[in-house]
Amino acid sequence: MTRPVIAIVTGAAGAIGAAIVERLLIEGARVVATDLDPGPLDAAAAAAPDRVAAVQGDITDPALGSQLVGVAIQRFGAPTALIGCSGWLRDARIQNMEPELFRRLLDINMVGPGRLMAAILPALREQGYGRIISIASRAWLGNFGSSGYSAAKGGLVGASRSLALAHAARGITVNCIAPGFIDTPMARSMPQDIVRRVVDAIPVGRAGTTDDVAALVSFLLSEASGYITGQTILCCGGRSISNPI
Amino acid sequence: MNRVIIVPDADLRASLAERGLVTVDRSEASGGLILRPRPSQETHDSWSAAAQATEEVFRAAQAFMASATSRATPAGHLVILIPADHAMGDPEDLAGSILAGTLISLVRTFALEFRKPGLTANCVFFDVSNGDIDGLDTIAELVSMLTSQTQPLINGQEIFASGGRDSGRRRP
Repeated sequence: MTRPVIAIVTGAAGAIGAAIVERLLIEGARVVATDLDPGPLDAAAAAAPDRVAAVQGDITDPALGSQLVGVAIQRFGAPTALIGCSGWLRDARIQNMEPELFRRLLDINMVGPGRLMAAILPALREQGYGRIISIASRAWLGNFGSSGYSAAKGGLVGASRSLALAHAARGITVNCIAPGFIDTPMARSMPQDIVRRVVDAIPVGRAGTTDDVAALVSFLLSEASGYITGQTILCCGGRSISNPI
Repeated sequence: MNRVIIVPDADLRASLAERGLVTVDRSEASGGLILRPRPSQETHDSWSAAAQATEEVFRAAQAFMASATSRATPAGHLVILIPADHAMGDPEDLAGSILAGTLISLVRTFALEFRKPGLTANCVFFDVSNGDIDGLDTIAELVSMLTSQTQPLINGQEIFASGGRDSGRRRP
């Protein structure tokens, strides 16, 4: 018998988050979907009101984690998974990066998501089962112009190793997915010559799709993935092992 | 050896000076910045503690690199010292593990952005013994080499100085 999935998904209105929510619903999961912009979430909740709870929330709000866990318990039962998709990117070369912006990138991309992990862990420990998946980024390997974003994603990677070891014997796995260049509206807004150069540097010869990421999330959420923990899995079409641009 | 390096950490500065392997100073004309960051003690929230420490490293390294690139012949080397256990993921120390993760990625980006003027940024991972850096003589020699003015090629690296204890494990 397959264990029911009750998942909290952050950044659920973004391109990758929305694809993950869609995939989870197809697979029968119940989802608490949250984002700063509630508009797209309301549509998903209206389409499947018995399986989606939409919560407008700011990832930097320290109370958001307990709120989301509370909604999950009230609507569907104790959550079994957290998929952290929220993210915010502002690039600047280090010499031009205001320290306040650097800190804000850490707060949004690392501190907020981390607090959500802390909020859901008691429920997972109680069940003796759980899945925590953070959508990191290939930028964790270091990325020109993205010092704050890259450091924040590196923090998620470091935390996942620590939390994975701390909870491995309790049936809880903690992993990161590090997407490379994914075809999203944000990516498409980049200058076309840059997009072309980036895609040309991807060994598989195409940009990734949100479904590529959602498929990996789906596997890591499954019971079949229980032997995989503390990993950061690159989903980048081989770019991480090819020459940089 | 008369190379000038900045070591803001008082304990580390004293230990390195004691061994006479590097000359330490706070001079603006320094050729190296050596940091041994720790999670902030101002908060009990591991995530905020790591973020605070990361921001402090960023501020210090940014100022150092600005100074280093402003010289007629740009020169400067950033070395971040990190406990090896934290770098590999320490189940007993979440804040330390988060901080190790942020710093590893930060150093990689520093290395990418400043390699053209010939500056370098590297991480050194060390073992801890009785709360202090184990094998400080080795660490000091390594730091000395990494901050040498004639070394522009070792850049963006993570170097374990932990006696091979990391062997057989997946590295960060």
